[in-house]
Amino acid sequence: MRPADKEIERVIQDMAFQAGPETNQRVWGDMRKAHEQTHAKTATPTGSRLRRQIMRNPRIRWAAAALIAVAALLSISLWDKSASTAYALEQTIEASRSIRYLEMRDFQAGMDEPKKFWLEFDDAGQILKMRVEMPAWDSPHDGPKVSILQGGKATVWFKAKKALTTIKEESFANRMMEVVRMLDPQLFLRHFSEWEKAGLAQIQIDQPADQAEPITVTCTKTPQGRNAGFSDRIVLLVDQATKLVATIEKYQATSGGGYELSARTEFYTYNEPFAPGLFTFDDVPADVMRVDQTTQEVGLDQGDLSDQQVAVQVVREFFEAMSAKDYAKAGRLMGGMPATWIAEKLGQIEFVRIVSIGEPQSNPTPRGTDFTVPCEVEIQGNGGQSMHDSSRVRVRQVPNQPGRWMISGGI
Amino acid sequence: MLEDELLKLRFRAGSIEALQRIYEKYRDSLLTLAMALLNDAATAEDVVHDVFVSFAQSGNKFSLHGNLRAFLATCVANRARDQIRARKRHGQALDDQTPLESDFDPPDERVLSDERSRLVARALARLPEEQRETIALHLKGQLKLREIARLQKVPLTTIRGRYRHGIERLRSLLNGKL
Repeated sequence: MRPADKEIERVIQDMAFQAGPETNQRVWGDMRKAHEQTHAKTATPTGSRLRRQIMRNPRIRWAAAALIAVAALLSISLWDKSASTAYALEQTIEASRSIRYLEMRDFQAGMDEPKKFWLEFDDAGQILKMRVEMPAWDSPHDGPKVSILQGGKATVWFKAKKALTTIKEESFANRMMEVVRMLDPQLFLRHFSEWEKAGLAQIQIDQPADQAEPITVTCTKTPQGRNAGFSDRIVLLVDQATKLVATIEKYQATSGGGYELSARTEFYTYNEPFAPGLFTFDDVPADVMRVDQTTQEVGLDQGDLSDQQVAVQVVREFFEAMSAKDYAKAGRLMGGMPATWIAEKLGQIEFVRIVSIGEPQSNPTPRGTDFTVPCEVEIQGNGGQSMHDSSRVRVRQVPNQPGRWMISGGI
Repeated sequence: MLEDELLKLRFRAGSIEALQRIYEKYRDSLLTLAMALLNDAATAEDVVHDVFVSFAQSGNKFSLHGNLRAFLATCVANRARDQIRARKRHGQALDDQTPLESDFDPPDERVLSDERSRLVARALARLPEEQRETIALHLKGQLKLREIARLQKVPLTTIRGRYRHGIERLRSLLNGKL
């Protein structure tokens, strides 16, 4: 095998993904239940036992410690290590509070198009309006999409799927804020401190005498931090005049001992409002399917049913509706999808009967518990022959409509 | 591996600590394998979840005389293959066209990685399925090519060819990007 092929093999061998805290919690939680059921134990994990379980994972422990340390961190000038270095962490944090209009562009190596964000804040630092443009590479599942958040509603234009979906704001806003938060320079600065304390990284600050040059805050992994879940080197460029972070650069170590740029986020702040058209969907084509969950009743009311029972009931009523060709009802149970769309996608399939609906499997998420419901239905093909089709239907609460449940995928 | 032999014995005897140790030992490597095969965090997470839960359910019926790592990697590959075929069978799965379930989880929270790993996963996703599975199982699942040949039910020479062509294709896809 050629040397270049050996290099490719090494690159693949070095590829590493790690389970985040939510994944870890979900998988281990279900494993433990399965184990207990198999061994006929009825003990239910207590909160304290679960906490011990979570804290045993060093990655989660680091994240928790980072959160706890934030308040203390803000009062400490960590890297003001010499009289000549005037820059300190809290200067950037303080300056960030005055931002009213912010644009961000997040570039990834090998990708031409960046993710783009426009945010307008009020005097208290709360988001008034947000526009997010995500290219297709960010989410192959969704394709390219544009999201606008304002006035109590969140609207997402799925360009490839030709759909414009409006939902109530809260949970969607939280998820979008999480994406923005991961690019927040303040988050990086807090992490730098924790990583340095843990011996995972070394921090260096360079403040040029020329005020036109940016301050450079460089975070480089130590050998101890080799397998930690952050880039080998992260560089923040801070504007000396405003003390605001202008750029975040992420680097990967190369085999030659150097570093290669892998991602770059640019920040632009403005003194004037954005153009009003930035937060509207005036350019959405007329043939785009529009789904508005804020103006119609979607999903199934839970009533007195338990979460597991309503998950099963949603799946049952969906297939019964399909069998009766009640596409309007089927669409409502799928979160407000138009009947015409359901008919187009599924109308050629003859749903004969439900063969079985299995025990729903719970999937904890930050927004609450979703379920995966295994089921089998009998369908008839074009030639009239019967066949059984198995699915794992995903069921969740309608966003910001507690007590109403819908099918979110898996059909 | 001696530790794995002891863990298998203890797991079979009902030890939850053994189950936990197996999970912690293989969780991330299996997730990486699933990402290499699927390049989709949500589906990879589901696959790994199902493999481990099924493993936990096997309890005292569990009987394995071979390599535990290879066994779990094979389980991941089988379920990943099911996912891929389900997508193909339905043309495009309905939820691929349903705009309401957005894959909008923050990229660094659910499945953690660095940019290079994501870049490699994207490149692998562009290989034909058989080449991708062969490379992922050999380099991430640590299966021998002979074991992969048995899994894919093809001759060893075919597997060698898939591996070689896959590596060549990856070389051109990743050229200059790493």
